[in-house]
Amino acid sequence: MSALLEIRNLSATFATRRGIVSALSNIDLSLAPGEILALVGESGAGKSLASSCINGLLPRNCRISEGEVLLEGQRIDNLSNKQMEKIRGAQIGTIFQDPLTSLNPLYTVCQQITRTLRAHRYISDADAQKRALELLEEVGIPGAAQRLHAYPHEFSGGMRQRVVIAMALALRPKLIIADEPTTALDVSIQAQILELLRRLSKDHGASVILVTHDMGVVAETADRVAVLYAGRIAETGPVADVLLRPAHPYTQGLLGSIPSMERKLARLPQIPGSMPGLTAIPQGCAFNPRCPRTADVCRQVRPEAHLAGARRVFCHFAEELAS
Amino acid sequence: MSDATSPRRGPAAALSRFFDGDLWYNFRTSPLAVIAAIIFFGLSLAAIFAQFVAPHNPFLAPDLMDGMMPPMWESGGSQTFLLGTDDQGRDVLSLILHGMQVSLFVGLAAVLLSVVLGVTLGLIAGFFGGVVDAVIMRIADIQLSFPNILVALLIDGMVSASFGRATQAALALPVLVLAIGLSDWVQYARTVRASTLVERRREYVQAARIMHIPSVIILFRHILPNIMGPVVVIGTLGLAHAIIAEATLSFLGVGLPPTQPSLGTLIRTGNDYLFSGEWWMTVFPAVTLVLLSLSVNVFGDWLRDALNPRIGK
Amino acid sequence: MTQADPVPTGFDLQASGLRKTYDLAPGPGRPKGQQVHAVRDVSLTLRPGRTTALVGESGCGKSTIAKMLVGLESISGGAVRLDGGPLDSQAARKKAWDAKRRIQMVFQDPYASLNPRWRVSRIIAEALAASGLRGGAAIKARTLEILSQVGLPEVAADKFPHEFSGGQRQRISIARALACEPQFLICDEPTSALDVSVQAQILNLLKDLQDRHALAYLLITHDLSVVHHMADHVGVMYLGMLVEDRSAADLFSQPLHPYTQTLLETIPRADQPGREPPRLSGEVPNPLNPPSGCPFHPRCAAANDRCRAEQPQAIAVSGGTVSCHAVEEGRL
Repeated sequence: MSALLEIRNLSATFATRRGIVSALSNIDLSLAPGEILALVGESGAGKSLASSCINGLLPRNCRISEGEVLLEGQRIDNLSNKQMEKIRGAQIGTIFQDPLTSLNPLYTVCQQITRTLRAHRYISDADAQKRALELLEEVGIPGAAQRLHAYPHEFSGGMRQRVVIAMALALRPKLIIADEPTTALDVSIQAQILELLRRLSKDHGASVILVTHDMGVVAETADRVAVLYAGRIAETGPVADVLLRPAHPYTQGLLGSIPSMERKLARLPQIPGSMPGLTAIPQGCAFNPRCPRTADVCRQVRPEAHLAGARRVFCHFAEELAS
Repeated sequence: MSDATSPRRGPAAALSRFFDGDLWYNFRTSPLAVIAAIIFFGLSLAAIFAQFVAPHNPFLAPDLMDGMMPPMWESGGSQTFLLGTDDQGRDVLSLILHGMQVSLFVGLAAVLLSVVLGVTLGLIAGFFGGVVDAVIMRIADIQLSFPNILVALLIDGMVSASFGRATQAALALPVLVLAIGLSDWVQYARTVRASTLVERRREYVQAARIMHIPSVIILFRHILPNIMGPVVVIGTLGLAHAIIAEATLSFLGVGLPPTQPSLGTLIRTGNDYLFSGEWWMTVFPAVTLVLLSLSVNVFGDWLRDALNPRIGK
Repeated sequence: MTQADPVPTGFDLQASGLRKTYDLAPGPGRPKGQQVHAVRDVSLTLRPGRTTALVGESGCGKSTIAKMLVGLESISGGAVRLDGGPLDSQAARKKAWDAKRRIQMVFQDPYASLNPRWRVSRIIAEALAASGLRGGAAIKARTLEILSQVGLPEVAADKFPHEFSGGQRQRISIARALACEPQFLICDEPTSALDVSVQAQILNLLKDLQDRHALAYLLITHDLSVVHHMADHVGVMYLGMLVEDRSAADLFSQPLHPYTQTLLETIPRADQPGREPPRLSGEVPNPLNPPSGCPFHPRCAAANDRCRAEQPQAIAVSGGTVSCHAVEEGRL
């Protein structure tokens, strides 16, 4: 099966007044059609930036310094803004964390969806409206026909996120990027939205890149996961493998620090220190100052990928830790 | 935060922090702001040290024989009087420098007055709300429905009516400051009130209230420092406004007496000779006024953008 | 809350029948005099060394309760008592504060809860001075002591809040609260703005401090795994009401209210990849227009006509109470 999306050796830098700093470093990822890949990490890990490299919505002072992004074998990282605009929407749909900022408060839901449709396709207004209604029904908005002409503020947070998903789906993109789609929502609503994402991916064969900080969300939604730390991949592989048998010390620490619903511990295992800033990424393995297993080699040599079945683990002691 | 970097304290450290900070970087990289600042500070320095910089002393008895001399590059001009002389033989350049001193003083003092008044009333209105808020803001609304210049004229008129024209000349300067200052406090009060309404809901204010910190302390130690950004911006723009207001009032004849040079009085006296050909007496003070207020305005505009986090950098 | 264990009464913070009602300004389509009931008849007790948790979704009224307990919101009904004495006015609160019976609070947003223009030393010193400590040297020494208690180095004292990460700011926030030597600490979503590895550090810190100072915690959160880790007693809130109010051991081993059950089932579990969680249909109703009867009935699978008509009363069950007709009638 050929990959829908391939990211090869991607690095990105920020231009700051203190000079160029590396924000993403040598990221390799691929995504099969219909697959849900989670990019997980703590704030500052570069997970949102990695997704921006795909849809071309990079911050102004950021640029891709190395590597390439291929969508169905075509390079998209070197396209102009205008060409990228065509690809966004038509081939890549994006769902952001806060549904309020991605909806225009001055237009009805119907107007916003039909505008997206008509910007990319020749389609009559009546047909576009019909399509908008279908989309709203598809994302599970109750009474969609009556609410077609409602304004965003008339919807609750969960319903708004459904509208945003409907807009992202409008042109049947092959790839959906969901950047923290449920972080602003309550647990019970979160479950509904995640279920919707899973169902849409299955029904339409769309691939999803799910950016999140929540390992629980990863566990319930994704097929594969890439754990990011300080702009680098720490570990990637099938969700069940990574979550149940983490091989990278960072993944182990991260999973260990989640309060368990099974056992009640007196103290939570914690990773000492905090994630380094972009200007202070340590030599060698970026995780070495916080790692319990650190050795001299970790302070000097950046670890290569250790392959173990479908997994890649960027740790000098991957084999030892996995067993 | 790394433990190795030692904390910096004291005025020297504060200064180095400033030159390290985003504001200074932003300033350095905006040529327009730098030019405006250079012009403004150049003019200000010349005005402050007018006594030493000015080639002549316009307050000494002038020689009427030197009257109405054009600028040095015109025929009939003299190298002694760079920008020419006025009807009484006073050096125009020296008059401008001394006039600017007065104009700047009036401007700064008026801004200071309206800042103190506006910020205090705005803080009180925003923090306590209710009746206090309603009364203060209605007064502000009423004042806003009159043009500022009218308010200033009114105050000036009331003072001269109660003290008489003679004392008015002596009182001219403070009255002018009062008139401009009192007519301009409303925008500070409004801005500060709005910021205070936002700030008092912030959690650090709530934390202070839980600890039973007195309201006055919360108001002036916690909230005030956090709302000074917009005040500084309006204050800068207000300075330009106050300088122009001084010129306008003096030009209209209700400001400073003609014997005291300010940019406004110079333009006024010079204006009488504009059509008889002695243009330099009014054009040079006018150009100075434009330069001064323009540079302050450009600097203020930059400052407003630089302090606004919502405008991308 | 009815707690079975024998703790001497008197040294506690007790809320009984707490209510909060907001009058709505009349507007288009809204008649005059309409009210929202943000909190309806909630009772709870905070005891030394124990953690009580309030859990619920956004808008359920849990943060309003926190604000009423510390006096940031007025109380519409019911009472808050400290050691048996009512805290019904700011004067009564000040008196209790001066008598060193203190309630402190840790806020959710570690960015907004510290004055951005004050150095850490000044933030802590203000709290120390407000607690009656006098003298520059004494305050300085105590500041360093407290900073080390919350795991911050001495140099932190001379820095500004923006120089710290989110987790470190939350430590500063906790240090400020500790400086007042409170007996009661209200933690309003103390870790929901933090990353999970930082959350572990802060939760461990809160536990250590509780052991050390016998603090009584009220932990307000939407995260049941945090509640499971921290709490001795749990109140589950829905639309301003306590629907289940029981000891943590009982609640987590055998949740009774259908809402509690669904909440527990819908938490995404990192340790069970690939699990298909049951989903809770519908959304939290608008508090402006609450459903009749049991507030949860539109989303409840076990709802019958009685649930739609009659508001359930709290009934005693093992470890506390639950408000549900279905449980009472044995339908569940």
